[in-house]
Formats: sequence, structure tokens, C-alpha cells
Amino acid sequence: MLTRLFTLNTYKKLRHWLLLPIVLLGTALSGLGLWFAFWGSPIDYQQKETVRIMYIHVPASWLALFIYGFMGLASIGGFVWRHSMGFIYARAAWPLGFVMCVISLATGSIWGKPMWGTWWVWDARITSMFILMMLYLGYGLFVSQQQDDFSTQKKGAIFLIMGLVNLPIIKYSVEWWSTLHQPASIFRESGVAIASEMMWPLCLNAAGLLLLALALGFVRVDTLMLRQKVKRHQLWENRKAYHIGSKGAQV
Amino acid sequence: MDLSAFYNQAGSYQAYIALAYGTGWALFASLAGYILWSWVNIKRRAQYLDNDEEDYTNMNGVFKSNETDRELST
Repeated sequence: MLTRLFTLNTYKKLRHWLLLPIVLLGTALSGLGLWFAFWGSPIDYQQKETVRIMYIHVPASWLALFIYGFMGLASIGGFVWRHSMGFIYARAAWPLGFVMCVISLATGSIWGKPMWGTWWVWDARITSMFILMMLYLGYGLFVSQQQDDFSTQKKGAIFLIMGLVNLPIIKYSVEWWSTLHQPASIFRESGVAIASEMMWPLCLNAAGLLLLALALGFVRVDTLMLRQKVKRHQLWENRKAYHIGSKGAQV
Repeated sequence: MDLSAFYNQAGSYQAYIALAYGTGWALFASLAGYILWSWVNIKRRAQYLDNDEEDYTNMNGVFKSNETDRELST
């Protein structure tokens, strides 16, 4: 089953059937999520109105982690099943993850100013998220140097897999160290610690953003494959021109 | 501990909310614009290639040979 995800035919089928529905559903869920974020959800008893920033900050943070996890697994899949689609998925996803990470850090900073009295603090959670952003940027710049060089993509994949160690550090940073950032409210052993009136808008926003990011991911994969196709065609044309030229010189 | 004084001093919350959502969605829209622009650009360049499947064959299989790697890296 997993192996099939790494074949071009499965990818093409998925994109064909899913692209339009996820764009429509993602737009609808994001629209609904925004309405709940601004008007349909209650304010927090301590943080007052600023809690509404949570509905963009938390989904972006989840996606930043999720996309990096996906890239790491896709890279592992690329090595295990020896399919280059795994590396293409990873390369396609990096700008999405990077921007989600930037959104997470930027909105967290804007939220921090009225609540903590500062835009930035180097606590464990924020520092580990900053490292994640650097991992995205490092990987992206590295693989973008050689568009279709497979050895570069493999080296990039190893870099990604090593960076996976940062994900549990981000997740548990608020438990392992004393941080200004609040501890987990949703994914925690003792159960969800957030009111359902806030939980559902959060899930709506997260689902909407995930679907829109997935749609952009499909477009990115298409772009990378087309770029590779154009490059191969150019190589082929150059080789033909070279052979015709050398034959002409012999005559 | 009563924190209401601190929170009341925090100023206009609406401005922070607007800044957060404005920044977030502007970044996302920029990303979407860049991705779509790249796709349109490469689609235009690929128009003259008539056989869709031929050049994809290597992408559906195993790693290519060292020779092909060298060719692609040039």
C-alpha cells in the first residue's frame, strides 16, 4: 500500500481525483474557520480577545511539524523503496513547511507582545521552532542549487532524516524545560485541556489550512516534474545537436 | 494573583489580531502566488513537448544509473 504512494501512476490518480475537491473543501473550511475565529468563538478569561490569534498560530505550527515529518518519511521511503518520487515529494513540500514555520513564529511573536510583554524570547519551544525553520531553509537552499541532480537530492534527504530528531524536541520542549511558552493543551497524556467551543474552530482552521497546503503541494510536485521533463528534453536536444554537428564536421 | 491590570495595559488587542492574521494570510497568499506562477511558467515552457509519458519513465522507477546521474548534473 505504502509502496504504491511512491509511484507516479498513483500520484497522478490522486491528483486527478483530489485536487479540485480539496481546493473547494479547504477554501470552505478556512472561510468557516475564520468566521469562528473572529466572531463564533468565545474569548479567553485571561487572554481576552488575543486568544483569537491561536486559530492561525496553532494550525500553522501543527502544519510546520507535520510537513517536516512528511518530508522525512518521504525521504526514508525514497531510500527504502528506491523510488525518486519520495525525494520529489520532499522537495515539493519544503516551501510550504518553511512558510508555515515563519507564520507560526511571526504570529506567536505578535501574540507574545501583549501577553508576555515581549516580541521574542529564546525559550526552548521558540528556539526549537527557530531551528526547524533553519532546517527547512538549509534543505531548501541545498536542493535548489542543483535542480535535478539526484545525488544532491539524496544528500538532502539524509539531512532531512537527521533533522527529524528536532520534532520530539519541539513537542516536549515545554515539558522538559521551563518555558515562557504555555504547555500543550490538546495532544497531551491527561486529555484535552481546551473548551470545545475553542477546540472545534481550531480544528476547522487546521483542516482548512492542511487542505489548501495539500493542494499547493500537488501543484509543486507537478511543477518539479515538468521542470525535470523540460531539462531532460533540453539535454536530449543538445545531444542531438552535438551529434549532428560532429557528423557535419566529418562530412 | 490578579493580572487584570497587566492585561488592561496591553493596549488594543484588535490591532494585534489584525496584524497576526494579516501577516499570516499575506505570507500564505505570497506562497500560493509563487507556486502558481512557477507552475504557469514551466507549463508554458513545456508546451512544445508533445509526448507526456516518455520523459517521466525514470521517475517511476529505481535510481538511475551513475551515467544518467552525471548527465543530469551537467
